[in-house]
Amino acid sequence: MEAVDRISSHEVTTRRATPIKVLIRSTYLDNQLAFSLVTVTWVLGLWVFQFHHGKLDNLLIFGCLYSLLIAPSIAGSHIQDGAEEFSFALPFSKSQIFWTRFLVGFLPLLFFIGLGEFAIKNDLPQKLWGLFFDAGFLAPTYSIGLIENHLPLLHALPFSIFFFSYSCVTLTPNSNSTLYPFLVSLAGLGIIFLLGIVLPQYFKEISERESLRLFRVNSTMLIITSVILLAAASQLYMQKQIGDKSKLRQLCFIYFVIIGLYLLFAA
Amino acid sequence: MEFNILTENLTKRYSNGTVAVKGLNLQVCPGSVMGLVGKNGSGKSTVLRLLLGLLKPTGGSATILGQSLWNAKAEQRQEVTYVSQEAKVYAKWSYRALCQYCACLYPNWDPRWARDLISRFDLDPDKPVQSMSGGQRRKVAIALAMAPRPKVILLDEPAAGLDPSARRKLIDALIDALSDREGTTVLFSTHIVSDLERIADEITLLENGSCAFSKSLDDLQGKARKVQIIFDGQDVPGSFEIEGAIKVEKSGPVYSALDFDWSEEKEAQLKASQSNLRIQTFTPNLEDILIELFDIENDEFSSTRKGA
Repeated sequence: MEAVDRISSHEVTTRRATPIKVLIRSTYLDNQLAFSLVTVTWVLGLWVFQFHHGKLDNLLIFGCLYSLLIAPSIAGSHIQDGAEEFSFALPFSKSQIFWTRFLVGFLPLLFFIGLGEFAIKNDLPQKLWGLFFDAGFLAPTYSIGLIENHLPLLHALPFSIFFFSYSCVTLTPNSNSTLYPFLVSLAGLGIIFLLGIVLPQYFKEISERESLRLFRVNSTMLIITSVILLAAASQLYMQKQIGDKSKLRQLCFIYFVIIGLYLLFAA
Repeated sequence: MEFNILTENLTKRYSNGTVAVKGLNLQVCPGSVMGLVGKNGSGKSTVLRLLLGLLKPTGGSATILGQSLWNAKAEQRQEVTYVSQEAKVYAKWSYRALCQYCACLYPNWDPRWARDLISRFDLDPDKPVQSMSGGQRRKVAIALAMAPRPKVILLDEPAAGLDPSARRKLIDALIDALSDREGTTVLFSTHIVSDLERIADEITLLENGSCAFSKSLDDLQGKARKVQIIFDGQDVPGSFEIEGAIKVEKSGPVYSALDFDWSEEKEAQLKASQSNLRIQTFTPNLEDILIELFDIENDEFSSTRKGA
């Protein structure tokens, strides 16, 4: 009974919170384990073990892993619990649910990549640890690697994975099928990446300058495509009904159109 | 007259062509309790989902407190709560955490009532929902739907899977909720007749997505008569019409029927038309009435209803 009595006092203290704050908090709590995991990976990888050695490649890998883990988790946790009907019945609008969850997942990614990039470019981990140790253990800073020359990809790829996965998984009709839309989103992204960046270099010998240009243009295209897909998903989400498969199909159709346009462009 | 729940010619056709709800007209007054009954697949859950805006109508309209909840703003949902058939809530959360969450969302959240409900239902407020049994989860969902003191509560088979004691507590809690705040309107679907008898003011029977029948409980129980017409001797007619009666069945020399409009005049008319018959009437209980109604074909029912 004592435990029960505490309920009322908790509620009084939290009553002032707005629904958006409640939604942010609940989304975070539902995905707490995944968030903890990526935060620990980021802190250890960038600030403690110095896997980077001045390169940004590992930050790209981290960003992609983050998106692969967090985006489907945030978009699909309630669906997988079978609690989407409960969410929709609560006093939230669908746009609040869609965008709040998206931002709860996406803003930390921006933060991790932005701060990571800043730290690596300014050699902050080395400088920080240099205050305490000077035993020659730390590797010297050097700036080579894929990303150093193809910086736009650092943003384009993790962001695209996040946008694509979130868009598809959030339109999942029921709890049995969150994996399927996630895989579809990755397949679509893979095809676009292949058509835009990999194949042009494979079939035609291009100079390093042309390659840089290709990366820049296609990274921008990838970001634009992802934003379009996210905008389409948000519109479809407003029309989402319980158990409705048609919205995911419509998003897949938009996928095919985008891939078709890429094919046209590549040809 | 104002209705808290109103559907007008409500129709829902799924993308595979199935028509789940067909031209349904429902009217529920403030403060009344309507029980939705019908066979599995008759459209009860779909109606509740359409009302709550979880599904979009393909025709007609569904409004609660004068507003359609399809793509409604957050504020419009604050006076309406719902428990789905599966009664699923956030699985990793405890009742306490869910209460904290919902308390921020509903302006009329009643912490004392939330506490009272959980002790009535004998639940551990700190246990995660995912480690509870199906019946306990349902109790959590029901408590969360009642604690906000909403104006309208929609319950989809709330007592399914509950043991008799828990079911009684649920119904008692519903009665308390109704008596504590004037004007709380409840629409619930059920297969359990005793629940209907205890709390429903009105009963609507759904048949293939349309309203086959809607009557107040008093009308249903007070006016319904089970009529048996027994023919003496060998002269039993092959068919026999009882005007306005539902489902006339023959068993040997006995015709039986359910009649919502039975009167002494009618009895006298029947006796005058045939010399070799005796008539017996019984007052059926609600379960008998509903079982009779469930078996009625839609066309047959609508034609007899017109007659009545």
